[in-house]
Amino acid sequence: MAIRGTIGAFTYPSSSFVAQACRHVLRDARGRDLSRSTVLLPHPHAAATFARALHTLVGASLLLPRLTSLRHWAAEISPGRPGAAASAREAAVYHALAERRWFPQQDLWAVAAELCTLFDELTRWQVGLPASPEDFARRLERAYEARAGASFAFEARLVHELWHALGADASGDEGAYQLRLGLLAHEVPGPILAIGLSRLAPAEEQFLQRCAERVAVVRIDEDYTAQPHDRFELTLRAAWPEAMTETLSNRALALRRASPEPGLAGRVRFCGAADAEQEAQIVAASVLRWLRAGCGSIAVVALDRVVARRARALLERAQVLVRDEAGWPLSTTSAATVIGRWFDLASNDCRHRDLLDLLKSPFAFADWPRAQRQESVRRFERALRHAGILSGLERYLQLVQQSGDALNRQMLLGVQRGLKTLARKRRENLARWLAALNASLTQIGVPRGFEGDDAGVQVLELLRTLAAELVDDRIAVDFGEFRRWLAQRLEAAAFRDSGIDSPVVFTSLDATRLRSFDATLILGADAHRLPGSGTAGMFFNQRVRLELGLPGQDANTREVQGLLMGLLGRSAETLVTWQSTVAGEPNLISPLFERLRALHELAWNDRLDDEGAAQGIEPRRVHSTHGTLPEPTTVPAPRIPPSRIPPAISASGYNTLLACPYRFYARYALGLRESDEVREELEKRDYGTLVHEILARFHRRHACLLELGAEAAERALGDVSDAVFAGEIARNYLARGWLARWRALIRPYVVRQCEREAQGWRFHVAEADRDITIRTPAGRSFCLRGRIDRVDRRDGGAVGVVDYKTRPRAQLAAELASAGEDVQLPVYVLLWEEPVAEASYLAMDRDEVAVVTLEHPVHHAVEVRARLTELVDRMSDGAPLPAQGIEAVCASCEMHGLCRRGHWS
Amino acid sequence: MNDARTAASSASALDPAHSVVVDACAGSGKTWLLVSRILRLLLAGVEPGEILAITFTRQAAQEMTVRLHQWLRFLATAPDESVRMFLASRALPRDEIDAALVRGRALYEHVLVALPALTISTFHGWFLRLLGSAPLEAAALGNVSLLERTSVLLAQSWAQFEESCRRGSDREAARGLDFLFDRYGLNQTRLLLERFVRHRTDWWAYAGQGADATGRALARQAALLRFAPGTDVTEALFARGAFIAEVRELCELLARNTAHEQACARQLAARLERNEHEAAFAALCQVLLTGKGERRKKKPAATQARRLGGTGEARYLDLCERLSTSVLEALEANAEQASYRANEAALIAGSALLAHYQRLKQDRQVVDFADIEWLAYELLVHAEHAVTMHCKLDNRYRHILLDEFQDTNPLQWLALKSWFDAAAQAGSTLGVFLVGDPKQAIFRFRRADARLFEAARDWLRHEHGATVYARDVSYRCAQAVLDAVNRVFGPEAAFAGFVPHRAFDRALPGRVEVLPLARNTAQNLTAAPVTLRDPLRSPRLVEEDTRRECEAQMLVGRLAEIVGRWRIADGPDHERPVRYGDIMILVRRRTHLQIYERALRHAGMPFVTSRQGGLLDTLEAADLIALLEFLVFPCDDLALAHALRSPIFGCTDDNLLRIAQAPGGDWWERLRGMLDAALDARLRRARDLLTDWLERADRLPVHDTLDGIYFEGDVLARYQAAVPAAMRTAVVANLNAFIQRALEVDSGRYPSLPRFIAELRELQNASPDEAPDEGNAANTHDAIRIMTVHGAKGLEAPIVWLLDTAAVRPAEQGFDVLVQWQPGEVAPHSFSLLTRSDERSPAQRRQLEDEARNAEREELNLLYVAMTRARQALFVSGSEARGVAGSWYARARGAVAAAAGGEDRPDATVSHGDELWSDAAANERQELPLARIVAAHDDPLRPAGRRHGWPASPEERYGTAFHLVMQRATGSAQADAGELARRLGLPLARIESMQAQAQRLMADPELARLFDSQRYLRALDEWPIMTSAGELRRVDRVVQFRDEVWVLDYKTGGRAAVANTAREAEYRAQVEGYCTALRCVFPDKPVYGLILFADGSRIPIGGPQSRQRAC
Ligand code: SF4
Repeated sequence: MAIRGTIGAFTYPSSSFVAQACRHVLRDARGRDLSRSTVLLPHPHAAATFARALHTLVGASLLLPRLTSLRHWAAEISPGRPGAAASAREAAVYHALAERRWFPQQDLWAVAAELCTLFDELTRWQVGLPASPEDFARRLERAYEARAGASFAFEARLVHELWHALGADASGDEGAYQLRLGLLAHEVPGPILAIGLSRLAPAEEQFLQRCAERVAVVRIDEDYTAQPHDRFELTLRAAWPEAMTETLSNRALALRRASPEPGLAGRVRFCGAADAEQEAQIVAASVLRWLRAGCGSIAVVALDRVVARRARALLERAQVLVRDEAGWPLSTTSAATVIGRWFDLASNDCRHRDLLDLLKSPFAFADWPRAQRQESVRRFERALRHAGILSGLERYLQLVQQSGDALNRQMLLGVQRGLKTLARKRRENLARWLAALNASLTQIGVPRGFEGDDAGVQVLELLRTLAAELVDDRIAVDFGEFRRWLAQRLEAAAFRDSGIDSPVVFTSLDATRLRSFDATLILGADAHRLPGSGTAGMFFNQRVRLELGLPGQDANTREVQGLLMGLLGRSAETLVTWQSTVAGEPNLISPLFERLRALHELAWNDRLDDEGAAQGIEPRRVHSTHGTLPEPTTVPAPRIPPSRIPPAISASGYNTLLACPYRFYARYALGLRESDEVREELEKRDYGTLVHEILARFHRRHACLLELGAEAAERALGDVSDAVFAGEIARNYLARGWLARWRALIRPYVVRQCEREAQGWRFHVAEADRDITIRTPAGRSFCLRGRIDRVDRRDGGAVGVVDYKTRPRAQLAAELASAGEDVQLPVYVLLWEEPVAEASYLAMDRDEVAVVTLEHPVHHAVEVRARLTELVDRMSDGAPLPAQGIEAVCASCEMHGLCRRGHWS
Repeated sequence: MNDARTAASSASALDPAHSVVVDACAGSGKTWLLVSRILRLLLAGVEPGEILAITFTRQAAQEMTVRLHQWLRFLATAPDESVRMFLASRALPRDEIDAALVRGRALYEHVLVALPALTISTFHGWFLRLLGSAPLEAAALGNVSLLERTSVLLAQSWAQFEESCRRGSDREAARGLDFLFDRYGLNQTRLLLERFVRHRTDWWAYAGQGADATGRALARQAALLRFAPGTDVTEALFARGAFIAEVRELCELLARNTAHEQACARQLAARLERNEHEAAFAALCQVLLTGKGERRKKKPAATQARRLGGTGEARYLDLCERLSTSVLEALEANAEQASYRANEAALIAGSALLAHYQRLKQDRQVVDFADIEWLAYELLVHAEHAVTMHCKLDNRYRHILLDEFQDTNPLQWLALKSWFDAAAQAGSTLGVFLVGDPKQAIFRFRRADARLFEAARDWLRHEHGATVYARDVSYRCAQAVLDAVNRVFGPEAAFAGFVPHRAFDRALPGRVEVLPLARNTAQNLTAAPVTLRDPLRSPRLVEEDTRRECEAQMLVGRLAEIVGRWRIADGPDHERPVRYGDIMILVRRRTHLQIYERALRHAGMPFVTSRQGGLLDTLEAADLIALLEFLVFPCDDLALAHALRSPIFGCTDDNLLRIAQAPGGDWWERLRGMLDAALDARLRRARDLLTDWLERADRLPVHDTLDGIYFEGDVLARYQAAVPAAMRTAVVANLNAFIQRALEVDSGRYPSLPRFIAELRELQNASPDEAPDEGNAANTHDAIRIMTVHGAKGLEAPIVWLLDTAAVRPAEQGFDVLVQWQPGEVAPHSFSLLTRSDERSPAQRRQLEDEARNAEREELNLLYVAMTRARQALFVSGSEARGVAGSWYARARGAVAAAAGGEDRPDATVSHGDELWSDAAANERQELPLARIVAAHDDPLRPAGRRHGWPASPEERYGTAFHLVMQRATGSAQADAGELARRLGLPLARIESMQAQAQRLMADPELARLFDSQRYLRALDEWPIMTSAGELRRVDRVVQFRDEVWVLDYKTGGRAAVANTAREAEYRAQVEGYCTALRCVFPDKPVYGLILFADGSRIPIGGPQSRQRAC
């Protein structure tokens, strides 16, 4: 055992490491009371493994030693001087940067965060900065091996100046930790066993040294150079040798000589997945297989969080809950979403989408009964969509005022109060901003909702902690800065669902130290993620880091190697997965494993591929009682029951029937139509509607342009146009583009109309709604209806029907030419019960206004009518209505999802 | 290497001592060459960190890395003899092979673990890396992420731009916008400004980034104008006395000429009289110019001479000549002015839009590809920064390898050149290896400029003494295919210097077929039918479709004859029957793909269309979107009906009808209101699942909601059952891609279902290369690949079919950005916006002609790329169209007919090459397996893991708080009530009252012994114990006395609340367990337990009642 003043040091090979360490703990214990010792572990998660190992050795109950990590232990001590909390230090750095105006363009919070990380590192590794910035710059330049022309003065100055400006605060939490260690060293109650702590920082070494002056201190570390214990260790050691003195093939040869049996067979396997989904499925299937085989502890080292999240969902399908030690950024939770949306509302004039999104969140107005809240939101959404309001709280309030919906009103008033609370501020310090946020959220019942949600509780806690840490921060920031800052806090904070006990843990590689599992899965083990870059921020480069005394990438790789050796060695079985292709592109496995596999293949002709892992991976399907699989999709051709034959058919209905009978069915027999949407911009069809309205209004006022005079007519039409468009332009400036398009047509329109009047035609009526009853050969009757855009009369006698179209002439002409495919004009002829002399489209497009006339309108009308009556009879007799639109029709058909075109067998 | 010439050029190309430029034809093994060169560098002792290879796509970079690793592994592990051959084939001098063999053995691991590592990257990847460690004052990126798809953001910038105009906060831009609206309407204005934004790096390079950039640019344009901006050109013309005099003179002559001209003269004279210059000018134009605006040809004629007299006629002709020149000039000047005005408005409005776009990205902390390129360019053109970068990077590059150089754009090249220059300045020399093929330059729309290849080549030759090699041997294509290629491109003027390609493997059989043009099968489509069509019986037919339909029939017909029957080479000396996976179908555009896909589907031929950006257009994605839309807004009847009809529920039209007929409000209300008896199994299932999902969607993040739907809805299996076999894999891949999308929405930040749907909608409207791609089903089974020629760049297949080759390229339609950036120039020479055809300056017209030539050339390049994808067989088909003459089809047909010799009958197939058919080939066509439907596991798994009361109820938090308070109260550290209250989210008062309770407990004379350190030996708070069963537990407090041990367990509240409940029993059992464990530890002392409530009440455990006194 150690003698006072020195630290005892022992090393053991990985295979027997934990057991040996346990023996040390037991050695000077009094029977089963181990409570006088303190066992320092690399990670608190290792405590369970260690306790279990002790128990195994003793075989009876134990009063355990203090099992803790250095950081946790130190955290129990309150430091003599309260240092600046992490958030306060970051704020200080931010303000210092802002003051100096070094980076006017950049996100200072990001730079501040980077600087804080650097300061932590400098503190941890006790790197002193020279007193003068020039010395520091020279030192950097030397380290960079800088050549002519390169300058590192700015980097040096930045780091140097801020470091000194912050004074003692620069060291942050890391400094506080060191202070605590200093205090703790005076209080250690009994012997200390430091087990498997790798890479101790100088302050930690000093701590142990100081402790050793008072109590026995023993360090026990894994020995990667010891004589390998078995062919497994032998193989790992050969794969990742300390120095490359032997070639791969020589090492393989030696291995093969040492053991004819493959070194890792049965212990470690690899499986490359074709994509993320497949990898997640492999993970889920493997975990399930292990559970089925009775594994009591399964670790999933989740290097790829996205795949891990997917895998977790797949496992939950199979009712396997997972304990996640690593967690997700708080910003990815639904709770944080509410805050994000709330900020959106505050900054974008309450856009309808964001408002609805917020109101639909179960956290908002959580104090209302759920059904009531949902019902109220739905009513509001329907009204909103109908009214087409884009944004503006006032407008929403008016809307619900009109509808008299008390609940809606109550909701919106809550939102209004809340936003006011938040918006009152212009520039404030962070703590006040937080208070304002809290108060505003309270107005919409969010904190109450958070109380009932795991992540919500953690968000609240984060907000409270930040507010407390920042009480002394006095410098004001604006809303945008505050928002960015909070977003970064939410991003940095991890959400951990600590309420789950499970044999399956998702964890990080670092947290596997000393722990053993029945089975281990390493997911996402590709070259990007493993060994990873360690800590490499925006400052310095590897050479400089090494020169300054900061650990480099090299150290990181070695550490990862050590971790993997330990982890693989302690697990009975390990599966390593990665995506061998990402979006169809090859994606390489981690070079560490690549070496291992190459060596293994060379030695025993086995690349350790796991073909089986990708097989049978669809986790169990649900067979609900009535879940028989659907039939292959075929072309639908439903019949309309007589009771659903529409009693009235419009011109566009008839056209729909021609274009695609199924679409007709869905529209008129099922009565489906697209639901209202709040449109952001004016669209082509809205433009058409506006043009119709303009012309109707105009002609009602001015039936004869020749009397008015061309110039006056142009002016008058322009005025009507402006008036009709005014509302649209107030909503969206781009509507002016449509207005301009229309205005370009005003002159040609007036010219054309004057020509027409010169031929004797006069405006008679606009937007004439008509319907007529038609009897079919089989004796049925139905109603044909439509709205005629305009009816003219020539010299008070002959009738002309006109339909306005905002489409090019050629297109319309082609349509009229394909006989009987476009029935609009013939239908108008039928509807206007007097004989019609002329039926025409007025094509208005680009800067042309042209008349496209239907030849022989009456003859066409008769044919079109005959066909329709026959069709009505046949439909009533049960003729099927097949889906058979042409490409151009289907492309913009809203019933596409119903007819299933594209999936037909 | 049986070709001496190739061998020699390889030898020098691979020699690490020389900089080299290789002009390499398609299939000549560019990747092979490049990776071989890397290998040679490594063998020559270059450190991995000193090598930088840049290629064009991430895919190519990854593939190169894979290839390099494979070869290195081979070097490390293969027998000596094989390695020697391998090295020799990479042109290593014979006397160096032995040494290289030894070195090569260690290279594999050396490269794998090298720090800094070898870099094989894309331009963007490398730029990003540079920027990541750029000097802070220069271009440090900060904490940004790369945005690959920008159209959504662009749409949002429009919204902001619109708002600023509406609110009047940017009047100048609003005026610009109005001007554009008035002249071009909304759509074209939008198109123009978006193209401006897309060309922003050119713009910045041209005009700089400051506030006055627009002013500078306009000043440069104005300097080229004949008249100052705003001048009325006609007035200026008529202000010239000489001009007016000539016009008058002409007028007089006209008045004596033909009747028509006399009339003109009268008009002209009248207008001149009234000083109506505009009208007079128009009249003059009528006299002098044709309707098309060209000079009228005036010739001397006897009758005319008689009318005007001899000198009169001569004067007349002379005046016409002179005046028409003036008029034409004036017209040009007018067009120029119009162009300038349009540019003025568009640049102002465009810059405003661009500013919104850039600000939005800054707010969101994202950058796009153009930003990266621009920032890297800016960083490196600063010589000082570039030199700094050479020191700052961990990698000290000494060898640069550049692939696909014809795809480089000016900015990239300039950045790279600055990098080279800085290297020289920093004292290192760079070895450069550059590979490219101007014939394969097809990315003009991404601002690539093939001329840079030549510029770079010349520069490298002069500055770096680089040697230039051309390679014309194809390792890919059979000679028959190359024959066709040679015949198409050999005589082509645009391909001057084209060297006929030769096949490396002359023995590889090959074949080219050009099918007859597909014609309209349905006759008389255009003739008016006698009776009207009956829509219930006959669908409508459209001419264009039927032509392509006919081509599609030829396609499937021929493929049916090939698959399983033809034999293709599969490795050296091995042949096998053709599979679907061997076939690649190429199209120029995706426009009419559906027709061909339908034919393949009907024929039961499996295919995958790697339709970029097509995910959201698929029916299955639309189904899911409809379902999600219903979940966020259950009043949406159409969405519900859509979801019901999808395979997820598989409802029939009858089912829908039933709902339509049911009483009630919206459909969901009706469905819920229907009696069970009225519902069949499908509707009942739908109702139950939807009820569940509505609840889930309210609560869970998007991905979790969707996952639940996939699982409970048995979505994958149901789709596979419903869709045609040929589509199964693709549909499943799409469904998976959709759920991946949900994981990635907004990078997973601030997720919500409505936001997810909104984003999908925006992506649906985005341009195709922006929207999410369809799931990748390509590798999973044996299927025909359908892709665009652009998408097929870098790929190959044994059999390639070019579809729809007779269609002509649609004309470019103005409203674009014209940039003239000559290779070698540091900035564009000109930058202007193009509007209507009558608003173009002469300079613009000249540039447009250049552009047209470039476009033409690129069209040919595209054909070259398409043809050279084929390893053994190439098919070309097309359907009748106007202007077939210059089409791909005509070119291919001509070439193959010439190669085949004999007469070319248009209604027959022409072919050239070998017979690939073999009756020995077994008919190997297999049925497609149902993809991955795996039967349910028979042995049910027991659920694992459990949730233990989280989130903590306030009660539980009080419990935690009380423990902490007690622990602090008994320990040395002072408990801070405020901190505890904050940490646990409890009222401060409550904590303080707990602290008071704790004090009371500790002061309780009966309990004092347990808390007074004078009276016990040791006390441990929150201490771990191991029970005999091997369970790890934490006990609240263990107090050791000389003669006994006590275990304390704290509880909030009071004993009364739990008296005689199961809870109490549970508490007791727990503490009894602790006692048992500790008895083992302290065998010689009695162990007692005590449950201590906050209110002072307590439950003693394990001791005789009498012991209570002792406490
Ligand atoms: S998509 Fe086409 S086939 Fe289907 S209903 Fe619409 S028009 Fe008819």
